Amino acid sequence: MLATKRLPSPLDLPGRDARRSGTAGRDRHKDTQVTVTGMVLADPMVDDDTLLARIANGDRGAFTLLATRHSARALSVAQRVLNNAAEADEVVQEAWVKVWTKAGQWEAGGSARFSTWLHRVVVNLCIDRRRKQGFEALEDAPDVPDPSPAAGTLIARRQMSDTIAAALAELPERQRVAIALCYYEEMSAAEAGRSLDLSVPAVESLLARARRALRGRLTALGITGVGEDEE
Amino acid sequence: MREPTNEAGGKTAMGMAAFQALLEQYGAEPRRWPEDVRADAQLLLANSPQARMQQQQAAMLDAMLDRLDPPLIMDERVARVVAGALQDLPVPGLARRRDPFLQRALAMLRGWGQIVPRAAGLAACTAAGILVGAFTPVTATGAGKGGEVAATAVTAASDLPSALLTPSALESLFQ
Repeated sequence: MLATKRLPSPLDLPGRDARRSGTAGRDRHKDTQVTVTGMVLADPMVDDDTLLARIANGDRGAFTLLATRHSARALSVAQRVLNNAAEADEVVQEAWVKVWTKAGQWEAGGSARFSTWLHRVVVNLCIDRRRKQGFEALEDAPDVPDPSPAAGTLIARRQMSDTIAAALAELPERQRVAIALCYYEEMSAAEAGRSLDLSVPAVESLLARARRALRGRLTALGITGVGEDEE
Repeated sequence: MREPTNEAGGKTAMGMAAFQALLEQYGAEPRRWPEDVRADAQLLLANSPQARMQQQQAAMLDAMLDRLDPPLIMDERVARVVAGALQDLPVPGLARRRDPFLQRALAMLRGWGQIVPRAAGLAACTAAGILVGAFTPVTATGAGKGGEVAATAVTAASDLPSALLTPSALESLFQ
């Protein structure tokens, strides 16, 4: 049989649109058709376990498919944690190389999901990178927005986004990761806990402390109406 | 504080403290709340003005957090990252998956392959040196002890293989 080959395209990504609604990457990835090592792996049967088994045997086509399937969300997680797109790209790329070398260790049919494993690798790489860099200098933080009553309508969206990013950047690493995973990526505390190697109560504690710290920081920056800490 | 009640007048399963903790952890949006407590929280919300007020307060922080621009992840970016990862892949997965112990054993054998011939050459040279050294000096040291010893030594020096098999030659070694 003459195998037809359609390279996996990022357009096949299942979570692209879903990511915005918070369901990205949640096993909605069985809509891809691709030819891997001469065999047509037809829709919708190519699950992550199958691809990982093939990757363990050195199948670069399977690797391409799996990487294309999960990279968008991995990039989102990394960028949320690092607040830097270029570094997020590097981290995710590095994570995929780790997946390639460790694919043989993946336990197919186990209770763990590949996406959780990938996010754990990504999160650990992000944390390592942040520890090496140290915290962003306060001087690099954006200007404090005008706290006047009319400011809400005058502040540029970009400036506000930068302010929020700066407040998040000041959080301790794990609090920041917890917010990134649970709030922005809308993972459950259990799922985030597996990525962080923490229990659910520990993740919930991180979330509560993070929100408290953010409220205090934003209030200190003159942003009113974020909670009880303001005067 | 009065316990919140539901529409039927019964107590709800979630108290204000638990609800407050829920807001602190997950924010104001019910879809982010854990499934196992969501129904109770929403029941409380429906029956408690205080709970609604606290939810509004939590929603303010949520609104600020939502103003952070989402990461821009285009198809091209994903393709670039995947292509970069493909370029960085080490050679074949199979080679990578070889048993580390086996790898180490093979490396050790390869090392021995280089060492053994050199060690054998060195041992042969040493043995030859010992033999030559054992037999040649007898002429000089044993010259004054009589003609028999000297004759044996001369024989041994001139005919080394046969001298090795002669009992008297062995005796002369230990004299």
